[in-house]
Amino acid sequence: MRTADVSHVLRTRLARAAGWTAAFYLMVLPLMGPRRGLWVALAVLVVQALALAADRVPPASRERFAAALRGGGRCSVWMEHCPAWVRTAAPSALLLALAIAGLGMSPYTLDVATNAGIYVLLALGLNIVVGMAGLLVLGYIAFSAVGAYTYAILNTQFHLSFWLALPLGGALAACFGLLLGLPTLRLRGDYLAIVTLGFGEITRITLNNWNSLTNGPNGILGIKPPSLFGFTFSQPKHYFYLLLGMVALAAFFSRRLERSRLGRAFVAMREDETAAESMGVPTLRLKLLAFTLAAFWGGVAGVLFASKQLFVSPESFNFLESVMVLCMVVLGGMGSVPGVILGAVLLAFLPEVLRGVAEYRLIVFGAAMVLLMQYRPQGIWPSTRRYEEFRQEA
Amino acid sequence: MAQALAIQNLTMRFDGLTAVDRADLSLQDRQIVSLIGPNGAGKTTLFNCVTGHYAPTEGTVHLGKDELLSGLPPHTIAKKGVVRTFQNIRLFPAMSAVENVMVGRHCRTRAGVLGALLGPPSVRREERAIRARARELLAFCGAAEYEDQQARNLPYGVQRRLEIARALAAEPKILCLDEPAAGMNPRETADLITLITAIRGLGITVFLIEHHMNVVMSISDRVAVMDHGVKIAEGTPDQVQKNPAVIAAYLGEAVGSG
Repeated sequence: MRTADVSHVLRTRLARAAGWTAAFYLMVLPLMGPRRGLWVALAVLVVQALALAADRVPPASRERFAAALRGGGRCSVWMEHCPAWVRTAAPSALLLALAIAGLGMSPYTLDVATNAGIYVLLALGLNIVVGMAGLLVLGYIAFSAVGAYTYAILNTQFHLSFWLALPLGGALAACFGLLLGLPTLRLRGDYLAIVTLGFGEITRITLNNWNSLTNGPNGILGIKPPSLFGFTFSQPKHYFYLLLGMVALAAFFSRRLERSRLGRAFVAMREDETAAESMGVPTLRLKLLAFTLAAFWGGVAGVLFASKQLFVSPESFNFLESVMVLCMVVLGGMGSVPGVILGAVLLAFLPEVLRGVAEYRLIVFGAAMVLLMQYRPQGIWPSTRRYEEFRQEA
Repeated sequence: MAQALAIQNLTMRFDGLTAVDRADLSLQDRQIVSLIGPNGAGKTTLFNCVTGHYAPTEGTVHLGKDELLSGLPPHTIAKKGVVRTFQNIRLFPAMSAVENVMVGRHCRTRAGVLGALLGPPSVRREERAIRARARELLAFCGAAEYEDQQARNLPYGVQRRLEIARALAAEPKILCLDEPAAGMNPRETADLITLITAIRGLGITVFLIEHHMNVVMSISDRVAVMDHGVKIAEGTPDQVQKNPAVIAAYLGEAVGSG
């Protein structure tokens, strides 16, 4: 390459980098003010410089790096091939390790872990409908709201016990799932996504305005914590173990479902609805079932959420929460139970870990998601099926 | 011989277009009946009406003596015993070959949500039986060695046979094959002829759409010919081959060509 060419390329690159930096600066200006905005601009500049440097890396090594990222984490494939006893023992061992680790955690860590547990429940629930059955549901957090308010209202008004509310909240959310599913599940793809998005918003707005029942935007205070034979759940530690148990239960059931006749039919439906229907799979009924099961777990997670916060308000069930849970499922690996758990834990912990960078954490968070989707579109721990799918495309 | 399937006065209209026009056809038990005709004659539309993908505008489809099929959804029709394959192969690409066939067992098995979650012995037994049967059928269709491979990776001819194995898993009384030999080489076609004959040997009636004339003429008990949505001929392979209307449909009218 001649020197003239090099300088020309460099000049266009620099111009582009300057353009991006200026654009980002203007974008964050109203949010962060002129001085702090400069830091963002600087970060963008650094990223540009890194990208420039990456271009100097020989293509062969770059390819190898990308392939390692894509192919790395062959966990699901590896799991399939390891001896049966390892597969059975690994989850129990992990559970035991977490239970022991819980003894040494600070109340703050326990609290974050408990929140992560609630997200894991939500993600496992959403995985049934999005990951297994392949139906895009956007307003999922609404089912959780149904569960949370069921417990909040019945506990404050009628002193209903937590242990009764747990299945009841799930069942009520499942009923809502059924009611929503009946008219909408004939819709395909994007249309279903929009309808469920609408449902989520309607639920939140209803909670916000039905003052006589939900106390509107002020929310419901004074929810009693769960208790068991005279023992009351009061410390973060107690909730941690409660959530650990629930997550174990949900993961176990998810795994069972995945490997059952129904799980197989869900996947078949996702792969080719027409073919599944022709093979005698009643697709409409199964979609409804997937929807109802997902709603049930959403409701259960809601009850747990209310019992931990001891306070519910419509604010907690906004659209961003639905998006967050969806991100957990997608980033972790759709249709893969360990992947979804991992995704939920990571995304729940990431904002906490990033507290050090204060208000920039959302930016870092966003960047992390973009990078992940760029380099590992199949998720962190994909199911064997998806692993194969993406390996071939690569 | 008892009647397996009766199509009566079947008409399918899409707005102005009449794709199938008052078709009558009846299949007897254990017969291989082929439906032939030029492209766009309405063969696949007729199949879609039989298997419930379309609700016919007029006319009826009966299974056996008097069980009405027309108007039912595809999954119910499959459960009643009419199962199909597709002209453009429609497997579940991300599932393994054996899983594809296992899905075919769905309508013959029972395990529900509670069964899946609690996993009692009866459910486990059923699951084992599903897998065992799926393996048998893969072997029957000559695809045993591909058991654990993803359907998307299989050679074309194997995909065709896998689709037949999946349909057989649903225990059909009538198996509808939509151009199973399409794109096959002579060797694969010969295997397919053997397979279809073996399927009839299981006591299954085969309803076949096919363009390969050597397949049609060598295995069919009866052949029906469609052109422009109308059934123009029906009979044994010999009769059909000599029928002037059929020759005209395939080679063009002699009239007017001078």
